[in-house]
Amino acid sequence: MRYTAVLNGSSGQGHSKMREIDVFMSAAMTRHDTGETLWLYTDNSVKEELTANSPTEAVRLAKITRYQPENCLEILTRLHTDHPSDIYIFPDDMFGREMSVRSAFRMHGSSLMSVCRIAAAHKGILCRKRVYASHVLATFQMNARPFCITIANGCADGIPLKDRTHRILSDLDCTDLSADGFVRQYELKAENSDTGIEQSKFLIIAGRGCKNKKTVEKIAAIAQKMGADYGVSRPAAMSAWAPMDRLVGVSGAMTRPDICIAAGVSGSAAFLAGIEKSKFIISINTDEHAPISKCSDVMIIDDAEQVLEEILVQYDDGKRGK
Amino acid sequence: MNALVCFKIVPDLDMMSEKDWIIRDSFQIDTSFVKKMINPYDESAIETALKFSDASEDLCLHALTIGGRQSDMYLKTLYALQFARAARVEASDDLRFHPEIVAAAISKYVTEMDPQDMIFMGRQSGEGDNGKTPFLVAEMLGWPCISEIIRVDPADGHFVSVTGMTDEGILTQVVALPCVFSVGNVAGAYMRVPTLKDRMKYGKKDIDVIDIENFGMDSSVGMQTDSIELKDAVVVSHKRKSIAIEGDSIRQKVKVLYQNYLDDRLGKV
Repeated sequence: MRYTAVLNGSSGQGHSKMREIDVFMSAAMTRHDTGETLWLYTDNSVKEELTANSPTEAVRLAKITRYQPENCLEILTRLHTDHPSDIYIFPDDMFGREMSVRSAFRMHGSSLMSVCRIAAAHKGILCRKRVYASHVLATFQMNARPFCITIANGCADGIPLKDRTHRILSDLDCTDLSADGFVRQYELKAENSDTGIEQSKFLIIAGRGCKNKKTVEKIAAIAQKMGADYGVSRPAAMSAWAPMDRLVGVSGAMTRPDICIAAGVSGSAAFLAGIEKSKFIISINTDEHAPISKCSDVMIIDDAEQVLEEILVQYDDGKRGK
Repeated sequence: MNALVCFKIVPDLDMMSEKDWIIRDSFQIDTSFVKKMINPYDESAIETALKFSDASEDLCLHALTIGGRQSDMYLKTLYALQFARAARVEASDDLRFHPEIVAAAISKYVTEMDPQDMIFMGRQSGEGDNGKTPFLVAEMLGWPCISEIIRVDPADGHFVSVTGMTDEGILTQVVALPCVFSVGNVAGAYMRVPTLKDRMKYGKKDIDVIDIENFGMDSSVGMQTDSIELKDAVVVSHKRKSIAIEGDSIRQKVKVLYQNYLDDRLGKV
């Protein structure tokens, strides 16, 4: 099979996503399969770096004026006409989710998001992904080629990118595309949304049980004093108790800390998927029947804020003792 | 201008106990007994559209859902929030893993029954976790789509200002209509509650019920979506040891936690 990894080189996130694609495809493909990477980029200065970090030896580059999905879709459908692939692989970010579905539609193929494993099948490919808000792991058979999939976050688990010698197959200037003609004004306020919590070794996560923004801020301060990062569950993020980039779970960060303290978090399946790779989970909750209780290594049934304050006292005492 | 808000009624899956997760025939799970709610992403889409309506002078809000009669009480709530039209496409089939059919019904509703300038909808819902419907609707209508939006404001003429999240940062675009807006994580976008007075005044209007077959669509989902088939399903378990730390006071409990489980581990991170 022939596959193409499609990455957004202007997002800054492409760098971490290509590791995931590398690990994912290395596990899924045989030596008979051939792959290439398509980078969409806006700035010439990053071309060399993007090429060097590509998850395949063969690389194509396409320069765009700005990130706008309509133009990116145009580039991808043209590529498919000239150099068709059986599988198009996208990162599971905003770019990848949109591009996978829309390009599959235009190429008369099929699409599936957040795939965690693929295997060859008689007519097409078998893909595993979580459904029912992460309560169930389902296997789907995709029959319509090309198969456009996004790879579930957290597949790489810190495995480094393989060393490769890269060759550039093409470098196209696509800055004259005008499929985004419906946009009259375009103003991007660049933000570095990488809080580092996906790589955090020690993570304290505040949930709805923390009751308000003030308590979440207090927990963030406790985390900082203990050298931990902090995150929040979806109800806390939706209540604007913390910035959205602190959200942990399937619609936010997929974490794998050595120590995870879930404070006042009830533990929806979508949240648990975001911490399931933690080495050790401590839950603090007033409700012993909350789902988080059964999914933690140890639990304290009590008020999250007070317990964390006391943990900080013990931590400070311990430091003084040492 | 007309704006259509599409929403889905879903079970609150977090209310299901461990024993409720049983894989049945065709790898489906029975969630019919679970309390229902508006899909949280769709709830944000409704509130985002209402805020846009508050700031607009001539916006007419319409609502559409696909499903059974259980959705009607939510449509009546939208009437009470002064939506001008509320419609339901009657579909008895299980469409959880068939976003292509959902998208086809929405796009046919717009082209054949109720022309729109924009469509708001949540980016995904929790049962199928497909995340495809807004993009498919845009493709089927031949409209552009802006995803992960967090707000929409009026602009001149047939334009609107749309702010959304991208992988690079916050992007504000002034765009020509028509357009599909897919709503993602929006802080503070819980749907407002209508007053009792408005419920009494507006909430009793009739709901337009349309049979999915009116769109020339076969009611047999398997006939139309063989590009992807569900082949297997297993329930995911997150279970761990779950050791409860006992003690007479918080101080005592934390002392046990710290000495037995945390101190050594903290030394290694």
